[in-house]
Amino acid sequence: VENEPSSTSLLQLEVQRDVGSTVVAVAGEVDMLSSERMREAMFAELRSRPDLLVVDLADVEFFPSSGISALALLDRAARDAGVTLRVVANARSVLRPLQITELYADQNVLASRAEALAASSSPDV
Amino acid sequence: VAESPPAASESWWLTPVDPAHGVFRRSTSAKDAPGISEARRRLTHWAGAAGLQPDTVEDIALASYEALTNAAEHAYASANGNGSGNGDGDVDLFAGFLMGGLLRVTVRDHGRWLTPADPGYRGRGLMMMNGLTDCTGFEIGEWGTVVHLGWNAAPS
Repeated sequence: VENEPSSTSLLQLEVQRDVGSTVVAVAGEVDMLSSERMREAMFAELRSRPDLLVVDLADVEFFPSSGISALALLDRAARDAGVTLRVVANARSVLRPLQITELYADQNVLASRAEALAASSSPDV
Repeated sequence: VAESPPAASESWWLTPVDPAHGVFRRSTSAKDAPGISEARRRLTHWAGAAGLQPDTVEDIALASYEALTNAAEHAYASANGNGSGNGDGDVDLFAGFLMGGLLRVTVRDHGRWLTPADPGYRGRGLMMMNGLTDCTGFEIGEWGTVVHLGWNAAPS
């Protein structure tokens, strides 16, 4: 666990749009304030209705319940909009919170971005 | 009220810490989100320096942050005029090792405990605290809320 010096934002967001799919990549630390930025970025992409929305959390080092709640809201909204949502997570820092809050079972969680983009984008089974 | 079986004794949350291994203390304004993150980082550093396993340190950081976030929400609710606590109060974070190999983290605020209006949202903070610890205890009163988090862990 790194001990970074205090700074205003340790969260980075990156969006990659392709034909039919959009990736929102989140990196760094999610906290009370930055989870709001993450939620806004994810919902902004959902509004343009890609067939597939991938939220890549592979580089997230800290993921408290505010991040989980943002993801749960997105999951519900994606279902309503008919958008397939996939989550990329492979580190304990994200997998453990997903499992504890029982969101892991609901989510389409994959270990890499390539897998998330390659898997069939047919609606959730 | 202890929520899960106490690891060390029935009153693990009242037992004084063993000062031989050092004590962590940090206070910050409950409304200062960066200050709360900084408190969490310093606690993480302290736990790492005590020689705990990295996975345990990660769990301590996350569960403690959930307790701190909870305290911040109490402060906001009290400041809105519907609570009896001091909405501008500090949140106090303490950590130390007890005799017998238990690490205890205590988070104390001066706001009013909130019953989750949306269990999906606020309930997750409690799920995290319970799931990441070996034992938890909550003291809820007019004067504020105290959350105790415990891990079976000894310094090395």
